[in-house]
Amino acid sequence: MDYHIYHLFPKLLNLYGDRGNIICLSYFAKQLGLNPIIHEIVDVEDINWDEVDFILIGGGSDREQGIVTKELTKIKEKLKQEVDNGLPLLAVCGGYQFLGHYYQDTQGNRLDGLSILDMTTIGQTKTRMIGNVVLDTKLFGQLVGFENHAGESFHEYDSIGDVVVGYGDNLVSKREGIQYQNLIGTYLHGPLLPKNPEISLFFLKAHAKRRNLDLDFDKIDLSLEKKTKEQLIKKYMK
Amino acid sequence: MSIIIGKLATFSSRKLGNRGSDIAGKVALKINPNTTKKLAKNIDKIILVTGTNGKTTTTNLIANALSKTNKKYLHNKEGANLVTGITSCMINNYQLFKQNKYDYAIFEVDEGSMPKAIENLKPDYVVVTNFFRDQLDRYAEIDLLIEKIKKPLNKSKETTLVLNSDDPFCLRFNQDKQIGYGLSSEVNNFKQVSVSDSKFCPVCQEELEYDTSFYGQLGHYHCCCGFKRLDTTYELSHIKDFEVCINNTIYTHNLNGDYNAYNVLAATALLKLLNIEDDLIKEGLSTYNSDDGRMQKLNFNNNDIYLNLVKNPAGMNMSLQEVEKLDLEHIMFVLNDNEADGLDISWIWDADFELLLNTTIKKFYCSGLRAYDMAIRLKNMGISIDDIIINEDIDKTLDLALTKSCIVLSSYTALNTTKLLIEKKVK
Repeated sequence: MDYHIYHLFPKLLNLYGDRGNIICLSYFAKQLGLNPIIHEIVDVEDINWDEVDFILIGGGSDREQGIVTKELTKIKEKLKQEVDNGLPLLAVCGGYQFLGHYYQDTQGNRLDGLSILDMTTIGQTKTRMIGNVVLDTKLFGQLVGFENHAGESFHEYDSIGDVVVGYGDNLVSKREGIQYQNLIGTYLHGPLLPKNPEISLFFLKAHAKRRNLDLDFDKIDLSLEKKTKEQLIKKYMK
Repeated sequence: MSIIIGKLATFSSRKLGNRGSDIAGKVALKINPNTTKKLAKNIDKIILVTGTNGKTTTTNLIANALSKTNKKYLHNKEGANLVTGITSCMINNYQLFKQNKYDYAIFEVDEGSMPKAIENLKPDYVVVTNFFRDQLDRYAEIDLLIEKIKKPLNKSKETTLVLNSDDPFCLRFNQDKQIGYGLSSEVNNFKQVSVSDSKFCPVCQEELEYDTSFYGQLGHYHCCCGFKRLDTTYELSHIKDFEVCINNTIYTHNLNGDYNAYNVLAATALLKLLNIEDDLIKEGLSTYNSDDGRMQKLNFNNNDIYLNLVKNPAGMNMSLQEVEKLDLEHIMFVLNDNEADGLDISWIWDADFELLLNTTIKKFYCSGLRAYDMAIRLKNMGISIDDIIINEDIDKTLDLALTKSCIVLSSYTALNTTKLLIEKKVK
């Protein structure tokens, strides 16, 4: 069974090891007996909406973000509809920001987003939110990652979790990320999935449900991941 | 006065058991901020070498060739590459009541220290190796960094820039006097791997077109707006084992790793510009052996052991390509996340460890502060966890890893410790 992973604009949006998410998800898919196929999307016309099983939108620098937003605006209605209907999607950092209504820079200029999420992001120069992160979450237990952003995001959705170490969405809420249907939006690099297998499993379980597949998730050995996380949390909480 | 006190500071620091490579400059500059400028006047030709990867090796090659001449020269070989370190080097070599004239000074300079170094030293030559993504948490600053270096550089009209023509980043300085070096399109020693740092035109921001690609963003590029590679005065046309051909002359060296061709080329270009005789250049290149953890080769119980510094995806990929050629059984990674390594170690996911899948490597050892992250990286490319050995203690991991032929790849802050531990075992 093929598993179609769409990596949007990998050349433009590939900061901070984001492609590690793809490497990891493919690895997990293989463990489950799926045949992962990675599509590097450079033109939105190439997205086959019947086929796509998972989308990754990574982060890029401001300039690259601008180019991509223009491209993605062309498919924003379709993408919103798919997300509302449960398409698994991971958006990291810049990719997370532009799923909202806009990004407002420090001069007050607004860069329009895709309005897939009811969220706004405001740039600021006081504090760059950078460093290791630990979250407490209801859905996934503890999560670890690395954040690096200046924009503060504000929204009313269920957060992924509460910030134990680090900043999170903004300088005040002490919460991080969005989980909406099967979409995860987050500032966490690291990359996210290799160190947080709970989220890979979330996406793959959503996939199984969406495509009516019977997958044996117990097959995946997570002993190394568990140890890694324990060790990292110990280090970060020091 | 500041020189004397600086010398005293080094002396007392060394008495206390420190390396003291920075202290003299720090103290002297506190007393007299003009110390660097003043001392620089004693030097006829000043050469600075900077860039992300290769600056230590290039500097060492140049210095080794200068040592074959009868010229007097200074070299900050203790690796102190900030302005304080360079000033210390000048102070520590300063002999009171004597002539302190030098023909040359060859200094490796940290990229971040370049603006200050240019202002204070007014170099005759600046050699630039390349600009790769180094510490990712400072990535956005690559553009900024280049702008910061460009300003004082352009003002220093007498400075000749010796540039890597193959790196589009290097072409952004627009210095009046600039000379290019690069590889010719026949060179095919490098595998295409996925890392691309910035393949976008620095002038119009369009994607650059490449006729030939070596690695990272290095290659023969051009853009629809007219931006193109700088013509090369020194061109390297082939790499075979320890032999390179530059402008139709063969030079030999002892450096493992084909990527070192760039360092040999940069050093040769500079030495040619200084009018050093070809025989002395050849001697200088062929007698230099790495003993500083840059593809350093050692032997332990009849096994070849290599040690190399890796600090970014481009450098890691180059090292991994070497592993393919070396026929080794073990590989060991020492990954730290201290300030100088970059706090964010996610760059390991941008490097192509998958290159190891087709090599003779059987066991993978992971050590350092982020040993577990490294192990996860390897697991996710399909290495069985039975073949991955994790121990944050470097010494203990070395004991296991060095039982067979092995390459040890270490991040910046672990390099010295790892090197000393290996050397102690080898002895």
